[in-house]
Amino acid sequence: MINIDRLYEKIQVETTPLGLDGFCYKLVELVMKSAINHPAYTYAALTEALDGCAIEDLQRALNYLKASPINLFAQQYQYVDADGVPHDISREDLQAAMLDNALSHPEHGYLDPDFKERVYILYVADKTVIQL
Amino acid sequence: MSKAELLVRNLKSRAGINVAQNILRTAKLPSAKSWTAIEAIIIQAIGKNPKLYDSLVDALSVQLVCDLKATSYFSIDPSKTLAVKSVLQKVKLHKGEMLDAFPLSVTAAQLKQDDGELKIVHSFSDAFGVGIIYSRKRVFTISEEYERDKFTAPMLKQFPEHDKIVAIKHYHHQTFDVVYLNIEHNVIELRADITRSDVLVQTVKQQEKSIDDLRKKAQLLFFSELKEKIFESPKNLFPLIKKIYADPAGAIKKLGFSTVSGSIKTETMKGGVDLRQEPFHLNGAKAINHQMTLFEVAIIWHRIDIDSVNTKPELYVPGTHQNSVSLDPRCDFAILKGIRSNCDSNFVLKKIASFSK
Repeated sequence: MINIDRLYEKIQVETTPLGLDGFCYKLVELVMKSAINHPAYTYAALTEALDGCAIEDLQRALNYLKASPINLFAQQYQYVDADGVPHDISREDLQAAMLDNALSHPEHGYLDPDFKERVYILYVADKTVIQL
Repeated sequence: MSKAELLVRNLKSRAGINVAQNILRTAKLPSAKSWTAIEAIIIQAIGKNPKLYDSLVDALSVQLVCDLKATSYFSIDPSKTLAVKSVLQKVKLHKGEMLDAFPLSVTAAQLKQDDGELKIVHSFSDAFGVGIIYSRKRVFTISEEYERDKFTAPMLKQFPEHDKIVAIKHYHHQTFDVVYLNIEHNVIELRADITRSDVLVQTVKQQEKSIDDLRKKAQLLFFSELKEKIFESPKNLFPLIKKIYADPAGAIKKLGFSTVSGSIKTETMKGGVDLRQEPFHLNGAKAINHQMTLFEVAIIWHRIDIDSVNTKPELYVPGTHQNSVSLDPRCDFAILKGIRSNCDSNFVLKKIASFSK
């Protein structure tokens, strides 16, 4: 948990020299505005929230907010199955799928050889780490 | 290919990885997340522990009985239950390669020779009822596209103005269809295989053929033995959709509905999470005062939270908006997935019975 004022202070001190402070503030604001505690964002949604900033800057800002002690974001792999239902999958699941050349469905375990076209990355924020 | 390798290959194509993981756990063997690793563990362990082979064979057999089925339910007159049971118990198995191989599939060369007729390859009984399995060859097609840059010289000459050639190739797949009598509920379940290959499921048309062929075959079997018609049309599952949506015990995975403002929506939820808990769905439903006409629903029950069985059976009642607005909306079958045993099938049937009240 981190106090909101302390978080802004920290962002200012640590990321201003990198030119990332503006992006970090916007990302924090985005999460604060969310109606739910664990909103999930695609790269496209985040770039848009940051007024179309360069992907490298977005990644660097995310890396900063993802790291300890802030832990505001976590990277999450998602897999959309043949029925169109998305599932969270772990890095280990994905590694196993690479080995097998097919992903075992997270719910039933059936194999999907077309998984590579159906896996993407999401950033899931944890709003509860911020203390108002 | 060794016996063990063949068995693992069959399991891999017919069952979920959790089936193999459970068996390894029960046998106190190390488990793994990938089939590649599991295959290595199984092949090594079978040499020392032949019982492992038997439990894997049993698991494959149970899988073929229960899982990945389009199931239709037929209520029968309770006074006929004993007669139906005896017919199923006394069936003659069809001698041949499919029977010899069961529960493994026959080889591709053997499958090619099959006449495509449904043949009884197995009969079984369990705590809830008795059943038989029919097997046969089905012919499916796959389309392959060849772009112009893949054209050979003769093809270029023959099709000078074509950008793409689509080739329709056929292939064979062995299916396993089940006739099962649940004694307590006096219900015959016709479970038609929904698979089209190791990884593909049948299209709606193909499924309809599977279901129709199985129904005719079962009707004929009972008629020839009992000289009377045992069942007519299957239970209409359409009226259950509403009740499934209202079942607090499961998680709604997929929902199709139309609204009072005339829009048609299909919503899916992240695996394992209940769609009904989602803010978007909650607010949307509230905005139209819950006036939704449901036309399809899929629910997953996490039995560990209900009756301490560690399985996640899924019931999907498929449908279309067109069906829901017709004068006589019907759904004659449900798609069942994640069924690990007849205990799960019985659980689903019990649920269906409770929704019908």
